[in-house]
Amino acid sequence: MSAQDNINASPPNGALQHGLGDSADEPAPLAEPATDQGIIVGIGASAGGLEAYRSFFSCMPADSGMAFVLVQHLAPDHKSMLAELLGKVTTMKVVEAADGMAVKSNSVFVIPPDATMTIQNRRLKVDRPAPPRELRRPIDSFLQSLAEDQGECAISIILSGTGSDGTLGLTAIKEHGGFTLAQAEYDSHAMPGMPQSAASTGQVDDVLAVEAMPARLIAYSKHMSGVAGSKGGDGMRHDAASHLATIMGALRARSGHDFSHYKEKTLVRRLQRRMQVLEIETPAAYIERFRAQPEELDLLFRELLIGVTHFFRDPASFEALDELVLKGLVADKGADDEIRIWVPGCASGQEAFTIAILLREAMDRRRPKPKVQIFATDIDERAIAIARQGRYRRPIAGLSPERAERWFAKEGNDCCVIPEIREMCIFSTHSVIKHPPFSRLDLVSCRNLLIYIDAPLQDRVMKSFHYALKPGGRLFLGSSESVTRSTRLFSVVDKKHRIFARRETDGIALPDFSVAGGEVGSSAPAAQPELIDNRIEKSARRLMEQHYPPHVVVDARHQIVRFSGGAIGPYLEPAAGAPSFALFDILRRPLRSPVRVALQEAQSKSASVRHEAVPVRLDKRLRLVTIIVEPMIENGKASYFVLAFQDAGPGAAPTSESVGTHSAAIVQSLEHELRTTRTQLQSTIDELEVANEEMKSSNEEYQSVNEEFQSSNEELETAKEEMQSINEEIQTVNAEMASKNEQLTIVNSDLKNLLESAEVATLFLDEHLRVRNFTRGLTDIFHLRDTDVGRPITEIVSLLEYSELKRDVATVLRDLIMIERQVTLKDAGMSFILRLRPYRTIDNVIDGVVLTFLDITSREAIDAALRETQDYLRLLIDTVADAVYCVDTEGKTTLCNAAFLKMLGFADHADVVGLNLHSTINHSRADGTPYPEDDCPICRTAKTGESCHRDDETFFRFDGSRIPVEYWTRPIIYEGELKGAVCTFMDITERRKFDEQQGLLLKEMDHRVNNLFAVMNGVVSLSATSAPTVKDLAKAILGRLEALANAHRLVRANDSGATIAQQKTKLSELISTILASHVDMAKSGADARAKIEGPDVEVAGASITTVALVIHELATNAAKYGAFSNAKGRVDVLWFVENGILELSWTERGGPAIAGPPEREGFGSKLARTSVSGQLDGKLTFDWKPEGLTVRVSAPMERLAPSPV
Amino acid sequence: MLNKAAILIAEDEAYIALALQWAVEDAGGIVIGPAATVGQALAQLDKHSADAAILDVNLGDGDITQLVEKLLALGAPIIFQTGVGLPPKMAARFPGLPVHIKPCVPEFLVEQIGEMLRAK
Repeated sequence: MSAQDNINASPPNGALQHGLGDSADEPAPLAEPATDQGIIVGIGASAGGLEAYRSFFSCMPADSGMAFVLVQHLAPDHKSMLAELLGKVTTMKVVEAADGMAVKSNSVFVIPPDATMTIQNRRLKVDRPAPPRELRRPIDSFLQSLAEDQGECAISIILSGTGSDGTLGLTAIKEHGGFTLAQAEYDSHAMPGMPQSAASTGQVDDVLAVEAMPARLIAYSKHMSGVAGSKGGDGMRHDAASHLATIMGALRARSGHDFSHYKEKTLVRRLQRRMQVLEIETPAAYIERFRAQPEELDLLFRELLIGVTHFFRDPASFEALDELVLKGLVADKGADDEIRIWVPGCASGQEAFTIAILLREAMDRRRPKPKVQIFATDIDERAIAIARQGRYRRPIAGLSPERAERWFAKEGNDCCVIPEIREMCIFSTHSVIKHPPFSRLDLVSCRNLLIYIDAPLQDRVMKSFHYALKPGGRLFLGSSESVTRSTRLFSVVDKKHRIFARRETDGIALPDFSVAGGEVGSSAPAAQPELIDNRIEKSARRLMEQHYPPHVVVDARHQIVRFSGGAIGPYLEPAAGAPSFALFDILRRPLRSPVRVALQEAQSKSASVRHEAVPVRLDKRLRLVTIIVEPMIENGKASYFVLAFQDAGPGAAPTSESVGTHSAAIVQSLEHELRTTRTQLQSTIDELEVANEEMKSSNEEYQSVNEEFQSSNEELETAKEEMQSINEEIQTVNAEMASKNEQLTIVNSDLKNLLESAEVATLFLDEHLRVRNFTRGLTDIFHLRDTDVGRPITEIVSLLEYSELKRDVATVLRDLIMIERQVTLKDAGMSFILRLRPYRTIDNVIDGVVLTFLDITSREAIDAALRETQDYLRLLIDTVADAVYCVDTEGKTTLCNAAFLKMLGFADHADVVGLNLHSTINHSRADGTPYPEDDCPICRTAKTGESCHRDDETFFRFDGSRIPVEYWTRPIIYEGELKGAVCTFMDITERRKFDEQQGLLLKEMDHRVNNLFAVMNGVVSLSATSAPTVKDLAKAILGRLEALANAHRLVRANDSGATIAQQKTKLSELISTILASHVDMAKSGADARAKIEGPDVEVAGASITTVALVIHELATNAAKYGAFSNAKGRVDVLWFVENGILELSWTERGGPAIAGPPEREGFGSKLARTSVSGQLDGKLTFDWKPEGLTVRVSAPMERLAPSPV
Repeated sequence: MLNKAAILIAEDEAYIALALQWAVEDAGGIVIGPAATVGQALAQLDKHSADAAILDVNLGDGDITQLVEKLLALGAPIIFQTGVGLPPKMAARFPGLPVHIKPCVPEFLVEQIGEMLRAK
């Protein structure tokens, strides 16, 4: 029954239900060839794989003839947008997969959320809901089903993602002849994890950047359709088989392993795959290739060794193994016993570790535990190297979380088998075919190895197993393997789970391992000496011994090599001298001659000789002895002879008379003697034969012992190699230990010093509250001495007001959390913060608690002082009038004061602190343009540490209004590091306003001074035209200037801040002021020199000087010629207003009499008249009456006091 | 020197106005005004034709732009005299016109106006 039949007879037990496809069955030829249906590409990525998918499809032409199935890790409740998003980068049809959907070429199928997707006969199968997260490996599930469904038409690509999903699926694809790619780590889209895990199996054909993948796929697909013609109906190439012998020969020469007895289909499929990967057309070309590049043979070697293996593969079978075999095994063994298990073809060790874990679990409640040795062997050194490390990528497929937690230690992305399990297993390279087996085993677990090899080799291996197992030992095979060909050797224990028991069968020979593996098949097993069960044989022989005739075995030179038991005594006699085994030295003399005759006869004929009843005189009595010689024929040549004697009774002595009297009787007697002699000879020969037989059986016994030795030797060699590697490891470890020890000493001394000097009181307790260690500072709290180490802390006097210690320790140990308490000393008034933390050993085992006591007595005082200082500073900063704020180097506000909030209109610190100030309030340059943040001097100070001062900028308030500001920035440098900037600013609105006024005032002043000079200029010019002498000129000028000065004083007394146009005064005051410089205005009544009377009239602006000038000229004239020229004359200045016209009269009386108008109009008069007409738009007339001059002035009121524009 | 050219004087400061008036008359010109306000000056121009003008920029009743434009329309050369300089608006509007900052000697202004007339 072939392995193929086995598959049909009992299909693999529904592993797919667990999401873990069992794909190690010999790849069955597909029901229908799939080559004409196009390649299906399974692509796996985790949730972040979108970018990688997009890049992939943007490089993938839409008419590649391939179908793509995308498996992504999706949240179960998350609606995937993947299909829509990919629809934008490819013109292929992108659909979300549905149950029963047929996979068509040039289409893309996307896994729906919360589902497990598989494929069968090119139809997608969608199972909902997905298994719980920890068991979910959607990529593995799909790829495994794809591998089984599509064989070499399957391609798997592992893209970016975390974890190890996809690794098993990829191995399955490759095992079934498919093609595998993984995303390169240097790829910009890649997340390490899934691709790395996939690549670490060594099963990835190519590691590429995602953009390069489409081109590789197309080339692969082209090559595949190119060679499709040379394939048979089962997808096998006809031409490959004929070259197989050559290739296997080369492989054997390179690797030392013979694959010629592997199933041809397996070999062709794997070979075909290598060719496909290399894109080589013919097997002949492949042969060329490896002749040129021998490394290719190493790759082919690996290709042939691909095997899917993982922990608890077929959980039900392992459960059965546990129940039916392992538990019993553990129960039967005592402490001194050994459990010996052999796992041939262990690959990277998962199967061996699985058994180790099961055994260890079975031994949980057993004490003492029996010693366990699991010999795990494989021919692949690389796999053995991986197994020896015992390091696997997380999460581990097939392993329950509890087991992962208990038997593995996490190391980064990997987990390592804990030493306890690792030490149960011994890994070595060993070929189950080439090397002798281990012996005295309790169990052989050989799963999914037999399926790859042909029937004769299977028989041979089964015999090996039979030999290796001790009586009653068990054999555990893969789910599609069976012992049907070897029912003589094994009986069924559990048919479904492939557990078998060794039968006690005799005559099963151990296959010969002395010859090279390649000759094994051709050498006929029958030609080998058979192994005989020693004990039975020996007992039987011992029993039979008494019935044997006495005999000896001699070699060709007549040296005795064996004696039979005691009955031989009468026939032998020791010769004098040195002991000898030469037959004819110790044979009794009378026997020598007939024995010699018989031996010679047997020797020459190479056949048995029997001489019946030879009369021999022994011990002076005549006996009839039958001599039998039996040659032992080996290789056609008799090298040993068995010489046996049979006593045929007493013989009659011949009488001399009868001899003498009857010659006939003599002849008769002689004839009789001859006959007897012949008989004697014959019996001797027979005896010899028996002896020979015995020798033969001894020989066989030795041979079997030898075999045993040989197998022990092999085992020893394996152990030795293991020992050597362990030895080396130990040496390395030793060196490392020495250096670590040194380090440890230093660390220890550091620790001692630390404990001695640490200010923080620290107490280390074990889980029973016993003191493990403490620092000096702790003695303030507990009365501890060094001798107290090891005592429970509860026995130590404590000054602490703290009764929950025990409970808190229990809580910490249970919940592994930190507990913090504030505790005080009973009398000293000190307070501490007590922190209880779990004590973790370096290997992360919780082993007690650590208590630290932080003295916060002084800290509390410091805290209070600090708070006070802070409050004080806060108060200070809030009371200054200037606004202050700080920014960090990022431009975020870290502090601001009350003035800041008020000035900029913020309600609260929270509106500002923590925000980017520049974008919150902003400010503008002098010209009104806003600052970009990079140019902002404040931000620059915070970034460069360069101080600055500005007074021409505007800040924007919170409400958008602006205020002109002056600010200073200084960097905040703390311990040499720039932390930000502080900015102090003030609102300069008022100052601006004042400055503006100042400017206006200055301008006005300037105007006035200039004006004054212009007026003086005019005065001088005018006066110069009329004064006859310099003295007169000076007098005239001084008089006029005085009038102007008086008018100005008057005006200034009224209003100092007005402009020229705004100045005003009362007409009456103006007139009396001017007149006061000519006459004494203090006189009143009849003596009064002037009467000034009229309604209130205002004079303003330039009219003031005009009026002052006119009055001054009139008064000067009066002083020279009129009423003021004597002591009693007077002037009445009277006015009224009518129709907006001021009518003013200047009447002089009491002066010298006037003769009439002067001949020539005086300069003063002219000045007065032109002024009134020009400046006041009025009229001035002189009436020269004899009693005195009367002057009349009329001018419009609006000219006197023009309403300001 | 001025050959009976009619010179409009607008100046609200009496002494300055008189000094100018006499300087013009001494140089043989005929004075229109002196006007102390823009209104007065405009009224004078309605009655008399002016050949040239000496104007104070700050007259009692305000902006002299209208007056300047009217004079320019007549083709009369203009000299400004001012205590503080031409307001920016005016300077922009009448860029070519000579401006003299007070105090100015009246004869100098008269000489200037004479030259401008001759150059006309």
